Amino acid sequence: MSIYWDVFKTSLKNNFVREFIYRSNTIALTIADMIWVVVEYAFFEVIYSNTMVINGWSKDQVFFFLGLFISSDSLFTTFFQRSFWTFPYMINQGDLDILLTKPVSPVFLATFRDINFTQIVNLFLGLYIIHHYGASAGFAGGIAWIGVAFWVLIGLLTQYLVRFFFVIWVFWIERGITVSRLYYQFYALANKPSGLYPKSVRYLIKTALPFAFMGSVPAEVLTGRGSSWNHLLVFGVLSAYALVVMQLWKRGLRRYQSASS
Amino acid sequence: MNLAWALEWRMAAIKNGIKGALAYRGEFLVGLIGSAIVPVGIQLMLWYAIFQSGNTTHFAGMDYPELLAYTWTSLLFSQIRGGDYDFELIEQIRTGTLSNFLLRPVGVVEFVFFQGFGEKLYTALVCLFFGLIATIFTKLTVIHLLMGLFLAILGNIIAYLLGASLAAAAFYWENAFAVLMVKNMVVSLLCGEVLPLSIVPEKYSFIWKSTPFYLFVYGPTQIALGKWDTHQFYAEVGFALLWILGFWAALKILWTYSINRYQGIGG
Repeated sequence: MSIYWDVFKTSLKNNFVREFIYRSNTIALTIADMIWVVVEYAFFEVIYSNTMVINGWSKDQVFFFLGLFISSDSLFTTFFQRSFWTFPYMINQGDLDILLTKPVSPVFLATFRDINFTQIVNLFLGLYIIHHYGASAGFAGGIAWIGVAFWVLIGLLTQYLVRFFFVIWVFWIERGITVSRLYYQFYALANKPSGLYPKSVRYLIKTALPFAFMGSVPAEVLTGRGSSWNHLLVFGVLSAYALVVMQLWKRGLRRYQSASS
Repeated sequence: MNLAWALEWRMAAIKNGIKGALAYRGEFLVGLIGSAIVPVGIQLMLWYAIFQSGNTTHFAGMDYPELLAYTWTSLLFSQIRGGDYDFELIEQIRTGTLSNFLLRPVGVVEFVFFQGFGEKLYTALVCLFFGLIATIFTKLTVIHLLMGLFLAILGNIIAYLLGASLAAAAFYWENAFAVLMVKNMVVSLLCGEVLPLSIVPEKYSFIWKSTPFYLFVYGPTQIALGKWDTHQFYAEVGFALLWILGFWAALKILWTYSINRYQGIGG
């Protein structure tokens, strides 16, 4: 296990150095990431300036949801987004070769190479939003913050598995980048509370595309509105996703033909 | 440089862009459908939820059919609004491939624009095709559709000129990816593709009115839907041309001064 910790520390160091080589860009990226939060915030501010409640979701509950979504998204973007973005190129150009020769899991190395420190600011913004709207949304606070940490990590795991599922087809499709990018179109389903969608879509985002685990389900559970089946559902769906992704990875590796892949 | 040559290389760059879009047709269509259908689907579900749960007939002064019409019509123009080809400029500056263009008798900023513009023209044709089908079933008229497309294309030019001006920051920062990201996010919110700008509360409306971004999607949509009359169309075209002139001047100044810092080491 210590070898993974050493790799993590080295990766942190290398990425930190890279961010400081392009200091101005890093600062501007941090501002860009904060503007993304402002855009998301402004969207609901405009909607709720014209209505009080949408399908049982009040303004405070939606902002509480938004805080949870932003927090888990920021963790994913910080640690994994860039690696997944370059993943198709890595397979197409044969750069996976070098990772397969290392005494560490190639999945770990392939998905945990590029760290984006600019997004970490959004974690604090997300937590601030949770804190600010929590009480009025029905969040108990205090010990319940452990629940926030748990659900933010569930959101991170969800995004990791779904993103992996979208990107892994590059082993079979020459232009796998298209399928990979399609992920971002569906991801738009994640940043709205599930109550805004019709039943069929709500079912979809809790099963096949479980984006609801990043914000909607956590917000419902933490404000005492969720079903007791939610935990079981999350466990079942994420386990299934993990199994499928692991199988696809193994089959993909068998198909991988280095630079000619 | 004679006029025939000036026209020839620009047309060649546009053709190149169209061929690029056609070379990977599947990818182009998946991208187009993905970037169009999912956001529109989400907007439609949002309007449905608001009207169904609120038991109301109007939302921010618009009724349900009006919101649906806006969403479907804006879809045509949101596909034409600025592409991401300004990112190519910062990549060329960062990696040094800009050097290849400096030796050629074509301007890199214009070349990248015309190449990207070719792809957008192809997209505009696809949108025109779907728009023409829509004129059979809806109140949308061919004239209004063409007027909207014209304004959207002017919007595309404004978007590129702004992006290319901002890309000059790459001469100073080496990597100016983030500057263009900020621009894209602000444009996304203020162009009217996410929400009709008319529902923005009056006290905040000065924000979108003071930028040219509403000319990208909101303006063309209003024209296509007949909400803006011909006089306003001409006025908006006039504003668009002024913005183009302003950004073109800014682009010239910024690139003339900034390119002196360029060092194409090993490029």
